[in-house]
Amino acid sequence: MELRLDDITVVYRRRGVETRAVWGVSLRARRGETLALVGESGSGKTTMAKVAAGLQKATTGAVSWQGPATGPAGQRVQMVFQHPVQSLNPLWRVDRSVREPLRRAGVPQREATRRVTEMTGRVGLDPALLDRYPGELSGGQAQRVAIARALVGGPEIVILDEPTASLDQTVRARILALLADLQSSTGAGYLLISHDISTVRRLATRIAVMYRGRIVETGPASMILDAPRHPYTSALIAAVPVADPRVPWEGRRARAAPESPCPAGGQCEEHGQGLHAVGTDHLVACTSATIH
Amino acid sequence: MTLLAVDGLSIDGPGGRHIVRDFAIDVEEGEVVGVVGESGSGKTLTALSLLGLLPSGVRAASGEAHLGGVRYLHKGRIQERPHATMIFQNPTAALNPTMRIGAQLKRLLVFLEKRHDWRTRAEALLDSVGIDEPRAVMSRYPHQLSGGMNQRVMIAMALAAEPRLLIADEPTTGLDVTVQAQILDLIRVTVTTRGIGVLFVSHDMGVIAQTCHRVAVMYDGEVREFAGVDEIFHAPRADYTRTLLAAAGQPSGRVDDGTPAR
Repeated sequence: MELRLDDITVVYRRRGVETRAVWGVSLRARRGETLALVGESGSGKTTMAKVAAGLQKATTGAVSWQGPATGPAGQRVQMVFQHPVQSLNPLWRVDRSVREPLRRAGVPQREATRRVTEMTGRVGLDPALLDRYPGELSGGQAQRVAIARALVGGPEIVILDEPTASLDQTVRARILALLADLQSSTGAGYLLISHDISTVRRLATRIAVMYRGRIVETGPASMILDAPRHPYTSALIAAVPVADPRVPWEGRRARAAPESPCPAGGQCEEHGQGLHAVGTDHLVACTSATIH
Repeated sequence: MTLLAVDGLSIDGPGGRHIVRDFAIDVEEGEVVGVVGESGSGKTLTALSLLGLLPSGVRAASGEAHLGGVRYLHKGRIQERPHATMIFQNPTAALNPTMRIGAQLKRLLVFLEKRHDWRTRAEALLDSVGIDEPRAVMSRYPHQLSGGMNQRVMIAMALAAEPRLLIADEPTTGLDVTVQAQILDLIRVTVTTRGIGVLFVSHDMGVIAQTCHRVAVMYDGEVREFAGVDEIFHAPRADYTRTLLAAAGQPSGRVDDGTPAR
């Protein structure tokens, strides 16, 4: 199935003050592939994740499913969070956390036990850890538990919200490899929320770059990473320090991000007219970006 | 010329547990030396111990440190205040949330220099770290500024004392990448123009590769390798260095087989 978010706008109201977090953003998350939503703090990417997960209501716009269902409704979207230990109930043993989605779906006890055992093995978790509490796990172990919990019910889409941001680099590499393996074996779709380009490079099939509540560029991962067309995308990618001292780093010259998603400062005619195609499945917010 | 020389530094935790063993490095003037490792490797405690800032329950059991030829750390204890300052991972939390930036700078400058024309000096300091509107920033509270702006303020405060050594503990972790690039550039320019040395603690191999001249790789409380940045990334000797490089997607690293490196 495909999860569609169409023309989503989210306005937060607090003490009579309105803040527009997302402006008319459309996304499609499909089974078997990873859509990465990248952007900096305040870009609206986490708000979009919450809308996709049903944790935040869109002010305007529609969330819908397309295509034949492969699993029960209500279990179609699962989420893996940034802080693995905190995302688990501290009073529940690991077994109960992993089992919970199955209990809610009404899976019989014996079948649930079989699936919990199987999923524990697939995420590379020592079965002895099923009797532990989250506080007794390392960050990497807890994230494996959270991934098992997300996948055990056979979801269509898993939202990964900065899934490795709080993990050490060697642990991070193993979790990313695990996520890639599990996607090919289960066929789940991922909506990956990240500000870390190296994580995105490892997992993404398609990328949508968000800036100040709007998508400024979207397309196949290789196009966005290797031939970005929007100046903000270029700045974001160039700013990532390359783990090789022999590679000159252009990010050193990175300047403050532009005030407007339009490189012409909103003065050009195209700005505000949505995304423009610059290649196959490759869209950019403003065509004057191509002057760059 | 050698600016900082540390030798035989060991740190013990509660119950006499050895957290850091026999740490030794040196930093030249105008040089950035990285300390890289994962959580629990002891890199942050090592940095804190060099300024006598260890939390209670943790103590430096042994170790000598010289700064500018003067021994200031003996048997793990600070003998005299070194000309060194420190910046931290979360700048917004490191600043006083109840005071405007200007008031915090005033307090620092009046303490350091006993001067009452602190305002001109504060503006010049903020200007030197790339803050375009020093007056506007001085009238704000830390929560009204971005993380990147607060880290610039922290760097300005750290430089106010004219240190010879700056210790930077994960100074860009948690900042957006474009802001990180600007802060790293500021640190690099500061090293060049002021000739200070920097001890740069990080877990990020990309940041280390692009910022440091030499690198100490820490694992389980020990320095596993200390070498020039090019050697670390292209001719690593320690197994653990190769594991870190592999995790960072660097070809010199071996393929990680999932077992912990030793």
